[in-house]
Amino acid sequence: MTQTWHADEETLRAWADGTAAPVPAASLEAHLLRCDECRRRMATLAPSSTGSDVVRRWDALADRIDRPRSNPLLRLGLGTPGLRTAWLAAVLLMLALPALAATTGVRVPLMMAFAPVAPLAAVALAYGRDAEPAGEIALAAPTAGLRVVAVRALLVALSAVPLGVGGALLAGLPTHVAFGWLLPGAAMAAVVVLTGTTRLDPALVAACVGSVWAVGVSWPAASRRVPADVVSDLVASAPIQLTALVVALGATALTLARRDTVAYRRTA
Amino acid sequence: MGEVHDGWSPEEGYAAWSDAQLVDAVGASDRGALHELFVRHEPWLATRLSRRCADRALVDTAVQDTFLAVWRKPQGWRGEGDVAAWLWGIAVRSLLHQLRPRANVLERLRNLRSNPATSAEEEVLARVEHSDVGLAFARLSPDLQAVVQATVLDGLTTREAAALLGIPSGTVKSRMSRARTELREALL
Amino acid sequence: MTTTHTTTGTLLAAGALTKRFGPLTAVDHVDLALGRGVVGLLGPNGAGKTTLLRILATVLAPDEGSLSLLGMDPARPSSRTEIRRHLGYLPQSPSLYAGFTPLEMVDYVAILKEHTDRDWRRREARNVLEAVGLGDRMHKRIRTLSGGMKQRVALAAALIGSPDLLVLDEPATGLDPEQRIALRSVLAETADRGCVVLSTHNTAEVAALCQHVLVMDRGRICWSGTPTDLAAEAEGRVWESDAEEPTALRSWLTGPGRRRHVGALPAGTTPAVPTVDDGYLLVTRLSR
Repeated sequence: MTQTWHADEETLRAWADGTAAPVPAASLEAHLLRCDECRRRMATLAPSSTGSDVVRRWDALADRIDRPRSNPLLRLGLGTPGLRTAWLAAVLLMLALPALAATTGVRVPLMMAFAPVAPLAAVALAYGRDAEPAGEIALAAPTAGLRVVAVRALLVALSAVPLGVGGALLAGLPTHVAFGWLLPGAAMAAVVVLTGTTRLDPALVAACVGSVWAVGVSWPAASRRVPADVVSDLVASAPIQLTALVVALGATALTLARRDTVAYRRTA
Repeated sequence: MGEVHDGWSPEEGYAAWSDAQLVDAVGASDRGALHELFVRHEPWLATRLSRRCADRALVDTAVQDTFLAVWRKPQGWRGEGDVAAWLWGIAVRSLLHQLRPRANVLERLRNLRSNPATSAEEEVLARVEHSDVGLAFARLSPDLQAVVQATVLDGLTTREAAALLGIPSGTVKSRMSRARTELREALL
Repeated sequence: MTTTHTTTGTLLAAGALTKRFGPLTAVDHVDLALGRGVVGLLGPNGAGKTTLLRILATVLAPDEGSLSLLGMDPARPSSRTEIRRHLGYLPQSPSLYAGFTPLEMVDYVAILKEHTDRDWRRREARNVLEAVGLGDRMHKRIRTLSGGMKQRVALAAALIGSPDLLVLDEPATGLDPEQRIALRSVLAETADRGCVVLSTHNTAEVAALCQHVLVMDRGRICWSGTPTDLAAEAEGRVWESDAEEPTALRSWLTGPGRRRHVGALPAGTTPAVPTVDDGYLLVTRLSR
């Protein structure tokens, strides 16, 4: 709609001052809604509400909109494809295992053989380069190294572990089976974290350790030499659990002692 | 930094954009477009709000909420009518929200309802200044004028007008009917 | 020993710095002593610039040699962390998470740099993004930005926290001449109090951005001086003709049919006005 008239300066000023009479004011207000020209002139005329006020109000507004929308956990890398895949894989494994074990798994101790692999995968992927949203930039930051990797691995593992335990209990598996895989899993994960401080590739080590464990635990049962529940009982037995605990603590201590080598290793 | 041309993006120039283009750009998270929209519309919005509410702090908050709503929900603009009218619709409701912080859920839903485009009344009123209607309006008591302004000009519902003016809904209705009668009598 | 003029002492010192990748020696006994200012590392692709910069950014450990950054030894873990608190690094091809906005990206890098105060981060992130001309785009997803803008997001991330040592691998890639000038003024602020080391294979960038040039070839620093000195290096050793010249170390075509040569000036030839390009081509050829 083209404008046929424009408000004069006096009308605009009176309105901006708040001294305009109701009728001219009402008329002007309706006009301002559709007249860009008069809005511009009004902004330059208004004595009180312009200049510093516009700047002040914009700064206040900018402080509200310039807040990162994603939450800190996402920004730690959970939003990256690498870690999202790790998390999804861990959760799916944790959901599938108890169900499989309950429905089919009498012959192979599924839970014991495969559940400990989930933390392993989490750690290996946390070391991966695509888990880092800032890529190589992060390597030159003071926090580069073990701290970030450990937090990522913990985030993935912690969200998956309760699912595994809870799922196993719900599926009616014995308590020692539902909990028995935790320490072996932690031990192997700690070993993989430790390899991050050496020249070895954590992903490779995780794959080797995980396969050896899975085959080692399921083989005797699969070959029908030993019943599955005997294997499960053996893994859940005190000596093996204690060994796992010692390995987990030892590897963690060694990692802490060698923590400063992590950052350099990742790029060598 | 700031207003100084920095040499990074020579093609820049929001000044040439229309309001509608700016709102579209805000939809694509263009912060510069929001700033341009703010510079263009904040002065008159703030002034018009101050004419409805004397408390500067409340006006400040209402202005901020208005542009925050534009930033977060630019799709509320449907591409019809004037951007300025859409902005005013948000602004006057933001002010209302300030005046009535404990509005119930139902009313908040009502506030979310589509904002009125420029009403036919406003077009009429734009031309009434020196007409008989204008004179008749000027002769109304301030109480009645305020009710007519809130309902007809600002496009508020009876309940919203009641909240803005701080009087019961029933009073708004009775004053509106009295204003109507007086206007009719003055014009006959 | 390659030294830049310093008034406040040496911020970056290296002695016989060496890095090998299998049979390849990427950085070969490099000596450096750099003070305040912008230093350009100029050299052909594969000269070892990126490897040297990654060592200076504490991302890569050298095989041999000594290194001191901001007066500290990066080989010691605790001082390495301390160096990184005052270090900004722009990798050669920065990988940024495309799902973030520039503001979130810079904010995240600030978290990695141990800045815990949210308001400080917001203010600083906004400042550095405005400094690289992304103020209007700081809320767009990085995936929607052009390659040059992504480069500038990474540059902003390097600038956050006002580092004293800025290591930039090809920061001017994809910038037009006007943007190069904008980059220069951004770097000038850091150069006033600290050391900026950047790499490039473009002589025009060196002339526009740097106070000091190091020419690198085959893992070694083969020349050092100001951009003007580099051009002056070819003084009386550059000429133009229509034919091939047997005495030229290097010849290339300029325009239709004309050839430009650097090397020993043949008798009776008028030398051309030397450019930084001429000097660079001459010193890299002489070093071989």
